[in-house]
Amino acid sequence: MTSGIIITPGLPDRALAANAKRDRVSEAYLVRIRAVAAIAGVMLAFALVAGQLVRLAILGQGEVSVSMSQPMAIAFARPDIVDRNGQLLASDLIMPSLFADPALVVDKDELAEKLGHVLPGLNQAELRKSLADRDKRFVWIRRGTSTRQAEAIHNLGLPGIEFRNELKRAYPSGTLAGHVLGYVDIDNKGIAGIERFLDENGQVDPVHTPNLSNRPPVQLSLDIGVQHAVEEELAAAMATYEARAAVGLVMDAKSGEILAAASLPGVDPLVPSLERETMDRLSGGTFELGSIFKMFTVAMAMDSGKFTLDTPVDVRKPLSVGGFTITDSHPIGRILSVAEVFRRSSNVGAGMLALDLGAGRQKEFFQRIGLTGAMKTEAGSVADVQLPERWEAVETVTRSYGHGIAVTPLQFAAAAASLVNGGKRIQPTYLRRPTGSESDGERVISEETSRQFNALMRSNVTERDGTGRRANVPGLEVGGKTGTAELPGKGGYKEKSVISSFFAAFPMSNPKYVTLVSLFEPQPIKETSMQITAGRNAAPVTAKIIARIAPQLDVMSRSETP
Amino acid sequence: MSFSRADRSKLAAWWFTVDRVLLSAILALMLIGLMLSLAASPAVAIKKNLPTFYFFNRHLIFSAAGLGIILFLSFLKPETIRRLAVALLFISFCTLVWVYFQSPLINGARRWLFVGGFSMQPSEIAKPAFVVVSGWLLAEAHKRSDMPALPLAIVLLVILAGLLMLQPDFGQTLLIGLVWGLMYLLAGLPAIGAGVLAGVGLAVAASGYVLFDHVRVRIERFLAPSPEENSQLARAMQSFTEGGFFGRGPGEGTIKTKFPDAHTDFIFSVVAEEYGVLACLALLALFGFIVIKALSVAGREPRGGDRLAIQGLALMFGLQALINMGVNAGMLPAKGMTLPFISSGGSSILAISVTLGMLLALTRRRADPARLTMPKVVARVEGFDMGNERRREA
Repeated sequence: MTSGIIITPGLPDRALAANAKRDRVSEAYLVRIRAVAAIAGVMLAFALVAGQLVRLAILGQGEVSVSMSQPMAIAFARPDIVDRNGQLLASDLIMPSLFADPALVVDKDELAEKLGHVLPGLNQAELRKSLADRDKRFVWIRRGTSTRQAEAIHNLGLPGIEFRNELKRAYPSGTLAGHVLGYVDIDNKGIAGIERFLDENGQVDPVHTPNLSNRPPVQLSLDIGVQHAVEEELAAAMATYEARAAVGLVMDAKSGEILAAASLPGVDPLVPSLERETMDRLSGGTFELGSIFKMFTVAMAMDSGKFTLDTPVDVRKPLSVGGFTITDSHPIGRILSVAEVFRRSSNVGAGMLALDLGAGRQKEFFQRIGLTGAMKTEAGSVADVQLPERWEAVETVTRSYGHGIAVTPLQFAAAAASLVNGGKRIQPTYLRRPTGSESDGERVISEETSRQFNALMRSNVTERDGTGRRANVPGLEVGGKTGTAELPGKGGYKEKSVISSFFAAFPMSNPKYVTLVSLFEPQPIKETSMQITAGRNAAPVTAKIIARIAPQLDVMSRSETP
Repeated sequence: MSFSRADRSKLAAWWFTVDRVLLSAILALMLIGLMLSLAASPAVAIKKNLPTFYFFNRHLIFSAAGLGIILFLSFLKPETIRRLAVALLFISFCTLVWVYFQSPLINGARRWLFVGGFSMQPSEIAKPAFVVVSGWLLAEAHKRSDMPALPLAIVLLVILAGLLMLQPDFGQTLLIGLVWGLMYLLAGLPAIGAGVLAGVGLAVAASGYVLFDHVRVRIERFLAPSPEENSQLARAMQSFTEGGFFGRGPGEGTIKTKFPDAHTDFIFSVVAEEYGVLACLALLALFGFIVIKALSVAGREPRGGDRLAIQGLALMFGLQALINMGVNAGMLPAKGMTLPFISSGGSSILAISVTLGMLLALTRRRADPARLTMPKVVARVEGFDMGNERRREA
């Protein structure tokens, strides 16, 4: 707006006016300069604040974004677990978990009530209580909801609640092999069974975001079909014989791979349970298993070279040792061969064999075969053998028929398997081993003894006097041994409470698989002629199981040659 | 709106002369303020056990009243604005004195006047009136030496600063002192004078600091925030880093439930956390636009008093916004200054409305002979002055 000023020489008043003009011009100039400076200053100030804002935003990007309201979300990505044929046993799913920010919840009563309609089993009172503390910024409501539930909750349109995707373990086979698979905790961390094994062996990756594990699946030795057959037959047996519990095991006789391991009542891997009834009796509880131990006594006697299957044993008189008198429940009244002692399950006979060989030899044999030491599988530690230190004549006799030593059924079966597999110790495993794997364990008996012992086992099923005759399955050459052990009660053994077990192997000419069935406290029923002995219940159950699983395991049925 | 150029009604005249760009920016700011009030204030209301939309409803009512004030004031002539400012200044001085003796102590200060169910801060209304009156006096001081305009302006400053110090309100004192100083410079008065005045002001403050214990305590408390305030400032800064450029999303913020002042002094942090720094920059740009637009319009205003008033009002508005945002971004200590139109608070909204209403009134184009300039295309004729003389006399 400064128009050019032309100063023209002329009259004095004109000069004065010009001076005044100059003053004003310089003043106007000052005002203009300062006005421009003010605008520049304002711009600079705004730019400074803008710069600070950008700086803070960039600072924030560098940080790991751990916000105030969200806790450190570390989950664990687990590999899938599959059975020996690749069937899925356990897998991670990405599921939305519901949480609340109490500070943003408008009406906690309404929230609790509306969520209660969608989420069954929601503890509304507890939820209201945790929402009452508005200083808390994070409260879990439900870890892992189904997508349908999540959608229904979303549609409620309630403020202050949100979902976060989490990894949740899922078990497509339900409770099948629950004891073996174990549990994971709420953060997907393994706390028992194979799940815990995965954690301990670095197969589990901590993750900040719910990403599925990209590790290859872990293949177990279990065969889900066999497992299913075993569990179904055991459940049926529990119903039939009114037993309290039942244990079943199918194991590869040579490699130690466990194809089925069941302890009923079973557990749901989704619901950790510490109840006594659902304990894992296969590997978590020790029991006196009774006459089934005569397998060790007879095999030891045969392997010593002092006895053959035909060596006569005089069992006519009760055996008196250390002030105790041992009798047979059904005295035979004649001299028996070693084979007959085995088939008729004579306590007196077994005791005499053990006494003849001596406590030291028995102790050494038990140690060699793996009945005295600690045992561990991938599913965790097996309960320790209960074996009192005293090992005199009385203990030698009682241990010859399975009393005075309490062992887990699993540890027993592993030891017994080495008698029928050619004489080598095996280590039970839940992991798949290459096909045709054989144990390179310590030799416990000679191959020849094992061969003869297998013939004895087979005769116990085929001979009329064998206690295991109800275990026969035509064409599968089943052999086995019964054991009916009275359970200890107050001040002695309870006559009517027993564990009845049957250990079997098939096919007996070259045993591939061993099985163990134990029924806990079976009741006398009409079908068993009011008996509770193993030959009446555990043996036929074993026959049913073997008949079902043999085709799955490619064990060919052979025509019987009498 | 559309009006015929032939329409000679007051409304049409207003429409053609008011600065419609400024008006639009101001209306946009008011609308944004209402929107952001919805984001921040319900959480605070819930925390204080008030109805959820208590603060929002008040914001809405005061914004509506503010809009009325803006429109009404923008219809007035500059002379009327000046007279109104004098009257307002007188009234607010009286109420400030009254408040000093009668108001209850709230947060360690006596600031509030209670009329009916409403509470007012008279200092808020005093600010725009003071700026307009000071602008006029400083312009007169520049133009006429026969009137003691400059001493009068200084007296006004001392009185208002004194009254504010008594509350005590150091933040507002600093703000009006700063604006007054800038207006003094913009008036074209010698810079040495400004230096002397600033020196005297500092000397008074320093001697008060040394001589009086309670002054020292107050100044120290102002300069060194309490640990509680400090953690608030740190938390406010954190909301910028956490929000990042794009924010956490509407309703996702957490700071609003932590701060008792989330809807007033710290609303900028709430915006940062939920809508991100980009939204903050946009808001900052809107404030900057209004200030710079007003300042550049002022540059074309030939009448010193009006020009200074516009500049003063724009600067006060801008500085207040800048200080608030600077505090939120951790650049300044906490001042208790509101973000114009965005923060809740009746007095603040009404006072800003008065400020901007006056601004709009003063920036209206007028058929003022002093504003007439010679068309540039006309050739200059030697000896023929083309009205330049007349303009100077105006």
